[in-house]
Amino acid sequence: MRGQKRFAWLMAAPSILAMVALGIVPLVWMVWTAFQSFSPNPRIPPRFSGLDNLGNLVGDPQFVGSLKITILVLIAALILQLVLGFILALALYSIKRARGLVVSLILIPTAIAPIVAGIVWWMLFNTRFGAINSVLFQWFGIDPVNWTIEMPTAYIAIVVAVVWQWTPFVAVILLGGLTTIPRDTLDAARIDGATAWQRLRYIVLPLMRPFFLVVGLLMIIEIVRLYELPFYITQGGPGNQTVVAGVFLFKLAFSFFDLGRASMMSVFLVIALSMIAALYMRLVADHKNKGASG
Amino acid sequence: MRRASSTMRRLRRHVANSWAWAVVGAFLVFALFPVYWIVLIAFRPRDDIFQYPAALMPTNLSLDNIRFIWFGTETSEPIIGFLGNSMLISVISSLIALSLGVACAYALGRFRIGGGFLPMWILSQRFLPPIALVVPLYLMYRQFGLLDTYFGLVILYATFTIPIVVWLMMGYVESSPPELEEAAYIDGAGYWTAFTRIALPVLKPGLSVAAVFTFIFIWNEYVLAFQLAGDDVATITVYLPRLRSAVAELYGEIAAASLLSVIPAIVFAGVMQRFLVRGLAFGGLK
Amino acid sequence: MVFVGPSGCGKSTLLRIISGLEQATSGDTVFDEEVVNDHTPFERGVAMVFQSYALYPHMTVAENLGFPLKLAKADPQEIAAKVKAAADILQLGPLLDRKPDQLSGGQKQRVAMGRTIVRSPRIFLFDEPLSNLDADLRIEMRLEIEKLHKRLDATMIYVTHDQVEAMTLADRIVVLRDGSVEQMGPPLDLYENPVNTFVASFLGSPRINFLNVELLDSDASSCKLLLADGSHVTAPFSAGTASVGEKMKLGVRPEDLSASGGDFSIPFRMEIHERLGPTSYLYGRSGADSIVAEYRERGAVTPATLTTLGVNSAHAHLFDANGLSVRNRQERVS
Repeated sequence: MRGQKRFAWLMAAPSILAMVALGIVPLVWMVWTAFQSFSPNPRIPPRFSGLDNLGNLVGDPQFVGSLKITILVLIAALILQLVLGFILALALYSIKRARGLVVSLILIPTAIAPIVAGIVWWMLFNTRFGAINSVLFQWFGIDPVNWTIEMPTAYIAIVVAVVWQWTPFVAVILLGGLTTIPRDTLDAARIDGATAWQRLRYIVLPLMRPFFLVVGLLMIIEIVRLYELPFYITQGGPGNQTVVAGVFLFKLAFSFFDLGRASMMSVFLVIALSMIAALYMRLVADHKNKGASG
Repeated sequence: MRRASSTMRRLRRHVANSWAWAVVGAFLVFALFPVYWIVLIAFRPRDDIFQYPAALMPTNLSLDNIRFIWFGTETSEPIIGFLGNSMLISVISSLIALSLGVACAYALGRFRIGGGFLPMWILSQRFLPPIALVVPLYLMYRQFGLLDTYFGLVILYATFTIPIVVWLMMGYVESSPPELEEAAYIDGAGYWTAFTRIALPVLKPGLSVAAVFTFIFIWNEYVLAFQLAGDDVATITVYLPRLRSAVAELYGEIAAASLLSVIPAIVFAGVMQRFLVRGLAFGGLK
Repeated sequence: MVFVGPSGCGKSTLLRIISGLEQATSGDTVFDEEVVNDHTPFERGVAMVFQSYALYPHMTVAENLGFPLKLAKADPQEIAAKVKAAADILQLGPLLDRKPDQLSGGQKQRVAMGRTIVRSPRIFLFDEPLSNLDADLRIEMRLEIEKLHKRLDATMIYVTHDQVEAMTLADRIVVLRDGSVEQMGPPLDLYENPVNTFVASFLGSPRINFLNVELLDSDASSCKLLLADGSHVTAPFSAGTASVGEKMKLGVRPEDLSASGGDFSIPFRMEIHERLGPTSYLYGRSGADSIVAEYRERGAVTPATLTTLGVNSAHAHLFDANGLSVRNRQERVS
């Protein structure tokens, strides 16, 4: 039919325009600023400084420290989310009755605003009045732990909150993946003599690989972007030890007003995330190619 | 010997069935305990809150916290204004994002415009942390007088959630058969009519999923709401941290405010519950 | 042994209970006098071919075939040998390194069968394996299965809704409807002596003709029937315990109706004459009932030239008001 392309472009145009105006334009400005030096004195205009900002960042122990703690949180949270999420997905898969209701309930943590979650977990981990220490004392006789003002407990608190908020999401995505495995294939494995463990290892896990990759990538992006959640639990403390990447970025922009370095850090993060995304694309394509070989 | 192994086999089957509920139960406790806690604290009288160790079961009931946030004080405004702002902004932004997003997803999924590049670019917009863009957006908004306006926030949220809508809806569009619209074309319908009367109704489950996602995302957003607005136009997420920076330790009040802030999202998700599981199973998992 | 019946009659469920994939709510499953209710499928020694083939999509054909042996922790050389043996029987040699999504329907089916052979099980179970194939392939694979049966001389239980498959493959047929067994026995036995109208109409293509009649009179060797158009016929067999005035059905297969001859005649008004070469089919009515008759003579037939059909009473059946055969009484097995 005629006019097809025109219609399609008209349909997509508003979205594209909006994304260009409010997405591309600020992005370009950000990249431009990444190469400028800003002085704390607002009267002095910024000057072009090439890659100085990058050099400054890399040499800055706070920056390096924030990367380190981010990676530590990332590793712990990601592993816990994938493992616990998968176990939960398997359990949800086995349940027939009330599955819809259970899934809705279990997704509540993901539906809560990160800032609310941060504040709530801050209250839970409160040394004197929080529920965590209350349970530890009343059930296990353990003396109060100063969760948010000591390491490594502050780190643990953040990991717990992140896992709490995102594991349900991981589980639901993986549950969707489990439903794509044909029941007949699992039945055939049962007849062939596979125990539950063997079915898991030889059938389920290999077929779940693309889903693990997708959800893993989503979680990596999400964790690197964390700001409200960790900040409102620990305020970056003790000292600056739990200043994760997102929090540090915020500090650069709005405490130090160092827009140049903040932009450079954003560029850095975006490039890092894009490389990880590209790596994931290759892993998925690789997986598909192996299927067509021979 | 035969007898024993038969009972053992039956036992094995029972254990296999009940482990799933045990796991789910454990997760539900973990997931909902914080919710239970804020309900508890929200209705707890001030004196009971400041006890060590904190009581894990309800003690005395008090509506003081609710009263504080509901009616406000000299230093704190009533919560209803913030809730209203959040509701208004979330609903309008979602509607805009859903409309523009589904149109865009339809154009991409059905008519394949822009080669492989356009869809990729749109989907990659999701990867940008809003924090990175806050500063330039702030400068832009200041330039155009959009700071602290409903309009400013709405168009921003709509724009940022469009990629999510497109991401979700493309899968649904691609899996719905084009034959339905083709039959309509033969009957003389134009592109727009076919889209609104034929394609859209079929996409309803996907739209429900997208609606939940965008609504909750916008409702929960903090950074942009804080930096680009916050005085005249303040959302519930901006209100909450204010309670904490006050001199007094307003734990009970914070709990009450948190409770009120999560209820709409939970209700919304609960209403959409029926569509969610079905929708997610089919979902555009690319 | 073939379980056959319409969709939803429970034949697949019965197969799954035998295999151990599902539990029966009552009764026992017994293999060779061993009660296996609580045994897992593997412990029962069954192998199954699924309608959807159920191949492992991420494994090659060779790995698919060898999977059961790998689970049993067999020696890799033994696995390779058995895989090769099964592949040879089913001509799968050149496909061993391919993955299921690179195979055609028929090839996938053969891999599914190969997987069962590798295990040398006690019983082979087939769950509508040919339903997903197109017509030509279906015939070809049916022959393959028959050959396999002869070659392995093993117990096979086969489920299908296609009565042609049932008739050709079975040593014994079990006809199921709504969860109950209607009749059981060798195919020809069920064909010649159906116990009720369901079995009679299920087997045989084109389907058996039913004429609505009323019993006028009956004795030990003959009975008088009132046809729908008012005419009387006298059939040379007894109506057994049926009562006078009872509404019954006279069942006659198309091949037992002829243009001339027969032990008694029924009126016939021809409508369509379908010629298929040496055989043709006449479609028409006898009274209010539709009739199909086989016609083996060459030459045209018109409604004027043919007004009655002869019935071969040796193969005619009389069914009472409950649909039960008067001539073939058998124990109903439930």
